[in-house]
Amino acid sequence: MNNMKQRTLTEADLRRMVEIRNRLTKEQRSLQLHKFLRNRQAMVGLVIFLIVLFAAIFGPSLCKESPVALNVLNRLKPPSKEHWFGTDTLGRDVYTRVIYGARISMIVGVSVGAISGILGLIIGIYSSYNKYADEILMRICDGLKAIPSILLAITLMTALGADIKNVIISLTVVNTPTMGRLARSAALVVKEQTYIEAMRGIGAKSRRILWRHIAPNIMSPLLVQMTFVFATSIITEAALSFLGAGVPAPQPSWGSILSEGRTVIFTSQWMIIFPGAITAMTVLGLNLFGDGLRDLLDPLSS
Amino acid sequence: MEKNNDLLIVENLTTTFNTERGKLKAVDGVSFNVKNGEILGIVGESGCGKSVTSQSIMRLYDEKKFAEFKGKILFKGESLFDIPLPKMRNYRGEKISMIFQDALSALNPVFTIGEQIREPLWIHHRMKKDAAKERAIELLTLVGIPDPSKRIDQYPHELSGGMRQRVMIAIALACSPELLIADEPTTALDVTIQAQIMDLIVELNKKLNMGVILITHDLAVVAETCNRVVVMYLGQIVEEATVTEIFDNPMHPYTKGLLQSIPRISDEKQERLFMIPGTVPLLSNVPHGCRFAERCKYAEEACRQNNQDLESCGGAGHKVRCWKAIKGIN
Repeated sequence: MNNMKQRTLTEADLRRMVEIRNRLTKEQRSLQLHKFLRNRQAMVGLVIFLIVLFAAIFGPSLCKESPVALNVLNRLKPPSKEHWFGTDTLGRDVYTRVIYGARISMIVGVSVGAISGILGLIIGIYSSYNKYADEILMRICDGLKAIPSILLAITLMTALGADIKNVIISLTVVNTPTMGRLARSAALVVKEQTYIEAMRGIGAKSRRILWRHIAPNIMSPLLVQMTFVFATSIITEAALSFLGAGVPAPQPSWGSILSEGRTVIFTSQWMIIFPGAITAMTVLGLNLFGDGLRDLLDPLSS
Repeated sequence: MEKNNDLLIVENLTTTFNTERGKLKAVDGVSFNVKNGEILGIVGESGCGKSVTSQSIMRLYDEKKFAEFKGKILFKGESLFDIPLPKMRNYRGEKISMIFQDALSALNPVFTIGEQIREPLWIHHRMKKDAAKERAIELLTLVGIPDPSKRIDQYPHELSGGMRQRVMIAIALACSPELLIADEPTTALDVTIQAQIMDLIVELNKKLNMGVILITHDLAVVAETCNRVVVMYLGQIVEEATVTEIFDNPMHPYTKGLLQSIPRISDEKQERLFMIPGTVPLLSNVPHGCRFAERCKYAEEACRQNNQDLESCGGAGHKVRCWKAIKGIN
């Protein structure tokens, strides 16, 4: 009797509680989004990144000139109405070249971030699961990490030849070990969780556990790291091009523009200032965005 | 006749772990059986090998490197240690299910509970999404979750502890197992919810006629739910009897100690709560002779010399591992 009474009471209450909870979750979700939107640094970072991305995608239609059109009579002109960022040693429009350079940076950044993220995920998951795979993969990662990344990238570029495809390959090789280790450490934590044991308890195969249950649980640190890899590979690509080991000559890259401006730094600073500032801004923006993303996805880690 | 009635027979189960400090016998020669539709309680302090016993039945340990099993486990007459691992995998969740200790962390945070209930249905029956969804709603209703059609789209963090444990039970029951192993299903929950969950397990045991192994350290829970009890100490069974026998006529000093450690409200005089002195010894340092001797107030030199085997004594099916109890001294 008493029991019955209690039960009807709780059920009615529960329905109300469910309602309240649903409302609260909705509020919490909008609050979280709000928090991210109000995180001024992250928003600034996102806006900068989006502007650069926009310029990279729609760049060609924004510029009247070709980035490789020579105009030797107009060489080394300071910024003006016609040439916002001035002209370079061969009379090419620096503004156009920076916009086209954004393309290279974005393509390299996105590809390296995505490919090394995916490879890192695969490496991390298998090395967390299999002891032998772990030993082999992690020793390879250790080996790659023992060489300074810019040196490794230069070596690979020399071996492969200057080409944007090879830039992406060598930067992926440089960045994958970091991703792999991160994924491995996250997967090792997740693997010991009760819900993974529970999955084995209901008869799930290893492959299913690895890809369906462990992988989604380690995505958030990987996503955050991917934004940082994105940023560092923009810098490294610029450095490679600056050293002449990156994107080959007529194609504009932020690094090669800086390299060409280096010789005239005391007379025509605009060749250095504009591409340099934009590289720095883009990287800063990506880092700020990454920090904000980390605060959103993984509030406990900071 | 008697034999056919047995759902699970564990014979002389020994589980040894290879650790850096050498081999540790976590379970040492444990034998018991579970009949169809019966609830068997396994009781003991922390570190007595209760969970290891249950996980050995499921073969959830890495047999290649880490764990070594000896003895026999017969599930409906089939030896579980002799079948290949893929076949064992088919048994897990389908014929033998397990509810884990910590309901709060036994659900994957990135999936809705509906998706998680569908998981065993997909793994074992390749059930399509719509059918599985229906089954999920049915299961949630069965375990007493109100408004199941809404609940299946929620994530674990949106549910309370009791709700999550109910979801865990629903997942365990998804494929209608014949044996349910509940490993301390109520440790992380408060007392009222505990009672509800235990009622639910008993109710489901009757309704679905499945065998249940209930692992717990809470004798009150055992008294209310189980048919028979096995008391474990340091990897061995020290006493086995029906619930009424255990409570009316406990024989092993350890069982007596456990029973005395339950606080009683009826006591008028406020005495200090009884407690068994000392702690369970480490597995790396198992005492010679009776394993409980060091903490036993009746222990004599003879107890420390040799370890008594489990022997029938007293009422039907009552077994005990204490020579003094068998001879009726003390």
